[in-house]
Amino acid sequence: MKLRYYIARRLILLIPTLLGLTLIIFTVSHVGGNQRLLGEYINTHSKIPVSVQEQLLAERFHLNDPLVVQYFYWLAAFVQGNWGYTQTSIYSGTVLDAIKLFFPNTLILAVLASILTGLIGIPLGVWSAVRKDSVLDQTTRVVSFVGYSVPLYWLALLLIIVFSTSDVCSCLSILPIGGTATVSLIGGVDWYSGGISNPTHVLLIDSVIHGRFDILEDALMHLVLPVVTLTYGVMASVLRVMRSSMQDTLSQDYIRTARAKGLDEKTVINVHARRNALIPVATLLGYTIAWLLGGVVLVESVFNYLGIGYWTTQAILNGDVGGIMGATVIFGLTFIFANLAVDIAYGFLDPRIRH
Amino acid sequence: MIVGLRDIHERKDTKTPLSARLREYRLTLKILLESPSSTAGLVIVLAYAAVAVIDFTYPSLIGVQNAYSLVPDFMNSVPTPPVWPTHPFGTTFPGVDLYQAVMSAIRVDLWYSLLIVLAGAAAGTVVGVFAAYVGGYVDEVLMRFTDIFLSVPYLPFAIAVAFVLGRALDNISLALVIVWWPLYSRYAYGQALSLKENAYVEAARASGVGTWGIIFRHVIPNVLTPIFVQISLDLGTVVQVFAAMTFIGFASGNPLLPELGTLISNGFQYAVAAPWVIFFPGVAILIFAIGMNLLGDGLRDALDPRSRT
Amino acid sequence: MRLTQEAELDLEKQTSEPLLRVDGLRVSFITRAGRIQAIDDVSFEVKAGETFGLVGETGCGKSQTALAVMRLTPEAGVIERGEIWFSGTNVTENIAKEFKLIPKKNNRVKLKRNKSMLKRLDQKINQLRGKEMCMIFQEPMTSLNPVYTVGRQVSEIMLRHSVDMLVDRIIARNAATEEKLKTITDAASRQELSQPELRKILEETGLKELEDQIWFILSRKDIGATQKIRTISNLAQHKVKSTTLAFLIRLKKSKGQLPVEYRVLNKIPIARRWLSGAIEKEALEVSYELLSLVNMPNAENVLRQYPHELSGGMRQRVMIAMAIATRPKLIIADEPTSALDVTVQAQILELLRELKRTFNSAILFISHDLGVISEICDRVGVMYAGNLVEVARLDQLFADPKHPYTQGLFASIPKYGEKRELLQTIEGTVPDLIDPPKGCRFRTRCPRVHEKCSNVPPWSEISRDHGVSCWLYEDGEKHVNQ
Repeated sequence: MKLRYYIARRLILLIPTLLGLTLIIFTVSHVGGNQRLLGEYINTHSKIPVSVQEQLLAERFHLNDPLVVQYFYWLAAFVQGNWGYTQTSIYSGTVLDAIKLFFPNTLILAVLASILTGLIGIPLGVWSAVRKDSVLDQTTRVVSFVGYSVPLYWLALLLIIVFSTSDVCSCLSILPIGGTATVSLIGGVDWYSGGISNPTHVLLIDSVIHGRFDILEDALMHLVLPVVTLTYGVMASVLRVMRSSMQDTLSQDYIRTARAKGLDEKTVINVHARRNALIPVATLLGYTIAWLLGGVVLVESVFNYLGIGYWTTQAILNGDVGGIMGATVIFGLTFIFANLAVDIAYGFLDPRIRH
Repeated sequence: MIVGLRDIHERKDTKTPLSARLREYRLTLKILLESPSSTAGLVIVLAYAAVAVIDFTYPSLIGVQNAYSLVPDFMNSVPTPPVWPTHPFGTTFPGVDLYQAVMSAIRVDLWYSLLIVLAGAAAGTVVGVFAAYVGGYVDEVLMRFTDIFLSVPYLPFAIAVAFVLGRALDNISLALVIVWWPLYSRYAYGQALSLKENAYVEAARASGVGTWGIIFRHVIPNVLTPIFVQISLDLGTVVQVFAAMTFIGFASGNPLLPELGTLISNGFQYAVAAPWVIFFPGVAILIFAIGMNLLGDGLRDALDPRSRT
Repeated sequence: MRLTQEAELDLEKQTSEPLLRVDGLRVSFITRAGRIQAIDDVSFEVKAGETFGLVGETGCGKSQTALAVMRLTPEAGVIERGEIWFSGTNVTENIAKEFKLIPKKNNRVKLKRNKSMLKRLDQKINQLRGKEMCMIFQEPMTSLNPVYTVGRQVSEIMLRHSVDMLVDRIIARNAATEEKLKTITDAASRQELSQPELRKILEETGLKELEDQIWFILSRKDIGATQKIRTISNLAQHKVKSTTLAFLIRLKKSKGQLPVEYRVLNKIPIARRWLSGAIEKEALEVSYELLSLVNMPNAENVLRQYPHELSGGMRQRVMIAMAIATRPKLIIADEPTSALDVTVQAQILELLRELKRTFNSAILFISHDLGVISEICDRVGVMYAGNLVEVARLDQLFADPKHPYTQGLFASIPKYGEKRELLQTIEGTVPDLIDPPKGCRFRTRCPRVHEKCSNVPPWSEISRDHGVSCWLYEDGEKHVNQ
């Protein structure tokens, strides 16, 4: 089957999956019964008695209707972007606004970490397998081993300690993004307010658009430690799988055939072996992304990095319903689309799958 | 020459299945010990197990006064650096001796992790083997069910569970078990499928052993080998994940419960000024994870049929 | 090019210098269990154009011998001793420097390799592999790369070894005019052209590089005469862009060493299509011709398919197509039919026979099946437990096998019309190659064993072309034992 049809099929399958996600979110948010929901909206200081409020709210939110009906009303509201309210120590407002604020930051972090993993991890895994038992191989194995044994947040803390006490580079501080000192650097800027930068919501890009390269540099500096930590964690597993997969591939018959054709070793490895070795790595990618979601939460919390992960942690600590819901939505969506990307990549790599 | 049944029974070297299996285990151990890294892993794991057991039975043997709770000292709540011999690891907030805390925390973490992994493994293995053996419609349903759970990322799911059930250690454990069992189910399923066709299964069936009997007495023991490897690999991961979740703040139940993740989060604010506060609990997790991973990898290599010739 | 190759072959036949000479080959495998002496002191020759068979049981070392010739011995194996000469080149030169065996306790050894030496040796042999000697493997199911199309995998060889040929074809085709082609088509329609006749006409019209393509069109069995004429005439229509042509001419002149600008331009995907893209397309065209040559049904579609979409027989045809792509002097076929069912087996053998006739390549044919050997080989070598025990012409071997093992092999084949209760076997089993019997390795099972056999038997020439390694024939005559 052509790659096009395969992708199209996957996209169509997306719809029921998304619907399933909404079902889960609906269940999560409505568990604990109506009391919980009402609790958010009831204003105890109002002149209207609580029982009346409850009644009005119940009608407004269709809380007395059967669950199924509630689901559809909720879905309608959901699709329109009404995702509830969040109230945490770092941000209070609508969930949608919170996501708009936090998501781009997390996205940068995750994307950078993934790119670095791909650029470093995959070639390193290939070389490590080819030069088996060499110094490079042994070092890689040890480094990767430590990488998936170490608790990521602890490593992050260690890095913070090292970099802040030794005064190696005071710019590698752990303060939230947005400037070393909110007032001095970012405070007087008109395109940045309330934590959201305009127009793209991504500080890195916006600072370039507005020509403030000092802010750009500052933001980049703030990214260094979180990205390094996260990359190390992800890369450890990718390296391990890439290496063992490459080893397996190199022992296959068709590699022998390639050599018998008189192709030079470089071609044999890069053209024939590598693509086949990437297939198990792609399979693992889904799991890696799930791990990445978890890792993001940890790393952001430690670095006080204003992203979805940090917000989630605060939501948990404060028992903030809206926050948890929003987090579930984001994680769910990310997961689904990431898996879609993985499936497509898999279909691209391995023609056998397309049939 | 025709060998009669009587000859077989009278031969002294007829081996029972149990002794044959013991021989296999001894061979595994031997290959394991040949590799320095695996031996190191084994030593580390045994050391941790020893600490946990001693902490449970005779805590004073390793210098722990109260194994079930942190002992705060609110008069001296600010962390102090390590001093030998009173506070070998220093103290953490709020005035807790770090060494004792870590020792007991090891026990707690190991206990929970073991529970989680074993529960997940047990549930998963039974489901997987059952599905493989019975086959047909049941097989399809069970495996689809497994697949759904397999695609759940652990953190958001744990968050959701914690939200629904409340933040407590036991609930995290439950969430983690739910996230972990599908992997074992898949594993056991694959193994059982290939074993299903084996002769001894047919023989057992021919002699009238029922489905559950076959599953428990014949199939599962032979599926156990790769499961066991996976368990040892997972233990390292689960300890980490568990500590990560307590670090984020899931376990609000008993703030004085010694637990490695909680210790790290307790000391979080003082980390820069007093690095030992997070160093020791973290290292405790790290070394255990390293040991467990080394052991798991070593076991996997030792059990690989290619290396057993 | 082909002319020269044929002339070379004729010359070789005349001087009777063998194409392949294996001399005292010893190959061992270093494993955990010990050192497996897989091949011990094997010597034989393959003359140009002849089909030499290596027959023996599983584990006798015949496959490993073939792999050693191609220097494809697996990671754990070393060519400890011996020389392999191919077409006047010592393939095994400097091979001793490539590895080191370090003795350890328990009689074990550890293998250490010299990576840079290995790289240098590999570079040397890659000039020969795939070009002068090609190999067909036993397992067609796993020998092709699953992620690339068939067309790409077959083209790959030509893009590596025969770029000149491809470039020549394109340039010649561009120079072909309607009138020149008409000369050919007129001659073809008048009578059945033979290949030398075609060549003569092509030389006269200056289109000799197109010989392969035109001959291919003429010998196609799936289209009629008029269609063939039309296809040949249409060749003039397949021209390339002028930029491409300039590039190709420049390429040819600089003998493959491109000037820097072109090399850089070639890296850009879009520009590449104008430059070397034409070569890749031509390679695919040749792949199509090759696949048709091996009787692949629906060759045009197969080019675009992936290996897993093909059956075992079709995959093996692909492998054969790859093996003949560069018109190699030696084709090594390692049990090419063992993994296929009997009907396909017959087809493949017939195909190999036909190719042998067409291209006159030498074939080193490995098999465990005497029946298959008898269908295709000129001379045969019999191997047992890593030793070569007998070598003879096919008729000699079947009429008068000398070595007790060979005799046992023939005796164990059930013969039609013969009434027996039990199948005849050779008593005992193949020895463990980690600790093989000293002297003649067959002596533990030989019905004619005597005390001399604990020493390594000499090689005796029974007659021209017929040699045995057995104490019974010490003086070239049958020795009577008491």
